[in-house]
Amino acid sequence: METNSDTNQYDDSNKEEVSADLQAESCRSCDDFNMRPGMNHGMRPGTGNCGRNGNGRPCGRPNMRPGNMRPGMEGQCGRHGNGRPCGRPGMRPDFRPGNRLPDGWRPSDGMRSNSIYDDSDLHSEWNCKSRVLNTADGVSMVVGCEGQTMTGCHMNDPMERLGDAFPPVMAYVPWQQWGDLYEPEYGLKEGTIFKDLNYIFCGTRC
Amino acid sequence: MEKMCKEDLMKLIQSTNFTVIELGLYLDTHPNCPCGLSAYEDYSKKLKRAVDIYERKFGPLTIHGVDSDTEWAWVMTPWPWQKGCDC
Amino acid sequence: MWTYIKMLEFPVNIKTTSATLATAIISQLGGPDGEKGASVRYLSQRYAMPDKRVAGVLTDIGTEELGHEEMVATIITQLTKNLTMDEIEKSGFYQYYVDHTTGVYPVSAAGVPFSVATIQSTGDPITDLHEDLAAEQKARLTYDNILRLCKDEPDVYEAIKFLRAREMVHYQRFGESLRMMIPIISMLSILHLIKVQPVCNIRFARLYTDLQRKTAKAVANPVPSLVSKT
Repeated sequence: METNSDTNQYDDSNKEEVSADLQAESCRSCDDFNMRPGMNHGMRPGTGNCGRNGNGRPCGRPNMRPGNMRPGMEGQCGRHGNGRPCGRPGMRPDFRPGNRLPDGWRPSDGMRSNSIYDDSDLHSEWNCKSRVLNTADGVSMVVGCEGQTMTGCHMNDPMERLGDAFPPVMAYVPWQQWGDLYEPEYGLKEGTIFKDLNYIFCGTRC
Repeated sequence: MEKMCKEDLMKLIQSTNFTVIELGLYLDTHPNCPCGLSAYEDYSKKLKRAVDIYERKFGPLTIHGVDSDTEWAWVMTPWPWQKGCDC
Repeated sequence: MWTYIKMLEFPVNIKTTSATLATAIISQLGGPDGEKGASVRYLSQRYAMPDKRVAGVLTDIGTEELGHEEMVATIITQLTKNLTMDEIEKSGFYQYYVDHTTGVYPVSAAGVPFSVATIQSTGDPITDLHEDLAAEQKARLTYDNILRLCKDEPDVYEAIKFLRAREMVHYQRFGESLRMMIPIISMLSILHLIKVQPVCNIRFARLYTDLQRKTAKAVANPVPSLVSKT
């Protein structure tokens, strides 16, 4: 398992993209797809962000390794059709600091140790498009995660289409977009003047 | 607006005040939204006018609008939780 | 600085009395997810908020919560006005009555006095905003439960319905506030990551300086202790 060319490059285009996002107007507000305001569309276990595959970027799935395990995000990402999770480190590729590993470090450092899986018979290597599994028997298979839109890596999340605007380990509420207003008197009665934010109480007695 | 009775004017002030608060909150997170800004301008003007008329005719709403000619009117009208205050 | 407006945010005119309902609703004044806690929470947290817009959200919502506190206190006052001794004894209100008569004292429905132990102010913008989002949901839920209890009291119902709706609008605003913080925090966490790596590498140093410059530019109101510390 040598240097992975996809993840270890810290290229300038990624940097620029991040800072462009930083400077975006707060009123852009229109960048959410199919999500209503007032609801939290935060990370769910199993949502998996593995698949930035459409744009050729590596996936940013949470790490499967115990040392990096986060509560509620136990790396549901990588059921690549073989029933085994993939051991993808948690750090997002574009946040990877530097294009060279520190002296004395190997790419595997901090990723493969303490594995809860028995690595002796399975060595895997992955890139953003597919993953190569080499078993001890010398059998090699390529497992792709493209096209698995509803299971595995992708959960058909509209946020995926927005690329790097949504780092993992964070909760997101969609921006409210300007819409219909109630008349002040009706708005006061309802508790909001924004039609989009008016979720009435439909509960009944338990 | 000048001819409104006390109750109606108070209702108007409450609903307009609420609209201004709501728009203000929206603008806190959308400070450059032109729709929000123009709606805010409309309603805050309307609110200012209604409050001016109310304070002139029925008593102070804030400590800045107290008529101090003969007595301290601030404590002469009922407080919002007391009977007789329709607000 | 604050200025009092001599009116309620939403009119409260309750003609009936109900000691039972008052006992339940008082939780939204002094209970764990009540309005008093909400205003103390937001108005305390705002001092640690580096972004001017988010500090504005906390100030404005904290102020509005003070108005809600006044509304809830008004509901309690009017619901307990002219209660008969018979009603007090039968309703379970006597436990409150013995110490506070019909005065407004911030307690939960179970009688636990208001405590700031139910709120947090961590000094960390992301953590505080998550707390605020949760607080709005908890308050909304409490109002849901109160709405189930006051179905037959239309005057109370309307005011509680209003307060419930406000919780959801506030939730939306806090969510947007969190969105505004994310780019900044992402950058700060990269800075932190690079800083803690045990590496002496000129490229890292350059990258660090570069990110630092960009972060400083991105933060609406740069906080020296957060951004420029090397």
